[in-house]
Amino acid sequence: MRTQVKELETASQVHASDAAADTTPLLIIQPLKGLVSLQLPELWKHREVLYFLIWRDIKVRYKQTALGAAWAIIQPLFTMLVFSIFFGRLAKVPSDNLPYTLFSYSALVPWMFFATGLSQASNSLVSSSNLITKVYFPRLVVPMAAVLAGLLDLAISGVTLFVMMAYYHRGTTAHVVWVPALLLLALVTSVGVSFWFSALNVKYRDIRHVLPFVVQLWMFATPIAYPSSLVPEKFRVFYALNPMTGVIEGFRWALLGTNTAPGVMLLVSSTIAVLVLIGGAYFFRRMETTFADVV
Amino acid sequence: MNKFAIRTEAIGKQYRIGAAHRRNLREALISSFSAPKRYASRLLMRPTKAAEDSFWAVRDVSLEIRPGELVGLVGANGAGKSTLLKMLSRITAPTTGRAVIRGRVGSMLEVGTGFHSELTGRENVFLSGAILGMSKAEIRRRFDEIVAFSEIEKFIETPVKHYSSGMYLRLAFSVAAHLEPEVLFVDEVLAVGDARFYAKCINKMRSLHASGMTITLVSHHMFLVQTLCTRAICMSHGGVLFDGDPLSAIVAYRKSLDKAAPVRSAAASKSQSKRRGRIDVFQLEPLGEWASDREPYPDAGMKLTFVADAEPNSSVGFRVAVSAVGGFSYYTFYSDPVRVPPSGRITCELQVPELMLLPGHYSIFGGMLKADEANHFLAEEYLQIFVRARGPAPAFDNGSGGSDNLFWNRGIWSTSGNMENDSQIQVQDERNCV
Repeated sequence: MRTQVKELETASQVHASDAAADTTPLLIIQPLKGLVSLQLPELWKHREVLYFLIWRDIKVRYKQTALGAAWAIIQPLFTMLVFSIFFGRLAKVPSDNLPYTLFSYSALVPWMFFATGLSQASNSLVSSSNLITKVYFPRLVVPMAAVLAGLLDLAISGVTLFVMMAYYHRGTTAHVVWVPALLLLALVTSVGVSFWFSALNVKYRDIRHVLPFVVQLWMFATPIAYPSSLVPEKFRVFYALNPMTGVIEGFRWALLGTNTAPGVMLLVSSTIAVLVLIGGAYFFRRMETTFADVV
Repeated sequence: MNKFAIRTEAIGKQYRIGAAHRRNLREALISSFSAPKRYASRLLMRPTKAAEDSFWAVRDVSLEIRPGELVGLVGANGAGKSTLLKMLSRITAPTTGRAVIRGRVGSMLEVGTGFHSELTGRENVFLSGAILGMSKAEIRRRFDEIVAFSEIEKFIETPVKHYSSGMYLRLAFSVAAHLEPEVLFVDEVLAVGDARFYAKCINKMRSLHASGMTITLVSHHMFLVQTLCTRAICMSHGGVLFDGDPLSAIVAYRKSLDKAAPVRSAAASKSQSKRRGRIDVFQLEPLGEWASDREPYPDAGMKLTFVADAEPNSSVGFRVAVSAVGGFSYYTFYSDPVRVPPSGRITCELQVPELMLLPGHYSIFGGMLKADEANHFLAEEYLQIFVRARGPAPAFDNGSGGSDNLFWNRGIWSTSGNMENDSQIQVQDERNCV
């Protein structure tokens, strides 16, 4: 029940008997046997759909809210406050020689981008069922748009981070050039995991209920409220299997100059993230052809 | 010549019925542990052999549609029309067979695809346009045209959630109508807005068709299919029942409906007709001179009589349209609203003193509709006539456009010069043509 849709360059390639001068592209619709292809050129052709879906999500996100885009700051800020009180003050969790507020906020900025993107994207296909059942475009753009729309929030909370650094008189280091690469890693992870979850969510709505737990557990499996130095050395490799570990550690290192240079850890993280992304994309494409029937 | 716009080769779509196969995650997980191989083959989704709990929404449909055709898809609910359109517009995948489409595809399966209620009209034009397949530059270029067509210029900066439903539909239709694909699929979305906007939509379809676009549309509105389409396909139970001229397709459709309809008791059918309305008699009588009882001459007239049942004391209107079998509508007569007598039985008569039609096949549509709903037909009927030329006249077929003329009319010449052949003046109205 899968379709393979390919556009061949010219009609004459398919039917030699057709006029050779006919260069109209042919669209072939048929059930597919064998491996699905990712159809990346098709995805590229529909990049404007991706752009408009991101644009829509951003436009709509804070419509009819009293505080508007301030929510992009309030969420990580309040989480930071809670962490600072319970982990920083009461539990006296070490914080790599940083003020605990700055320590946790610097991690929450990329984390919130990842977690919000993941939650939004996992529900994205189900919530755009009206599109999926009525019009064709590569479905991969739907979860991608949901994650990418979080970039604006990331920028806003990022600015707040710089304000906070100035308040604590913390300059940044030359490693700051790594920040975009680290954010890209967070993006790849978020999109990759979203491919799996959003595709599964179409068929199994259980995902919607599982997701909050996953995000919460994941947060505690990532050095956000505590430094990874608390994790015993022998577990470090397994710990680095979580790509977000590399992102958060690297983010603090690049921006605040902690001695948590990720090194090998980042290599492991990136490899995992890319594998999750590619695997997710193939899985998504495989599930895609039944979306319109089951959503 | 081996030229086609759309070709399907034994295309089919199978669905599973009921909840038997709607597994939840737990079952999927359990079975993936207990029978990995079976689960794997499920994941690969090879068509399963056991087909007891499945049915074919579309089965073995092989069609070829040529470029520039305007094809109507008719059939009862569940006949497979929409599923076929969904497969051809790549929304759902076929189970068997394949289809080949030449050219850029656009689909209008719903009014307002991609619209978001929080966004303004302007923003939605861009959003919906992009989702339907237009590029940003294209939308920008045609933006004014789209807005002008929808006639809501004043409200274009207002969020669409504040729109009336008519305004919403008009804007949404305008966006979709300005797609410029080579192959367009339309699913029952034309009946939007009021009577005037409806006429505008239909004209838009005509002009898209005239520009060479290949259009396939699903409609339950037989008058529309008959007047708009150049060809119609009647589907039934997933297969093609008839493929050919619109009028014959409609006849096939009606027959398939009669067959499918469960036998009702007289009382039940009476209450049914009371609620919805029925035309019992749609009778054609000659006025003037006819060659036979279905063959008028161009200058003859006709009298049409309706005897209909409708809801007592409701207000209904009658409509008669004369069109070519090929679909082109020549003229339409609209009655004023009529109040139905308490008995529920209403009689209505229309006299057309002169047909003014060129020789050829014509179809006469008679419909009864609710007076306040522009296109909600309570009942429809069709008659066919063949207009005969008086005496020896050049043979031509109005369906295929053998003549540049649309109408016959009576003309009386007078001149101050000398006519070369005096008799020409007298025979003018017998030689017909404008």
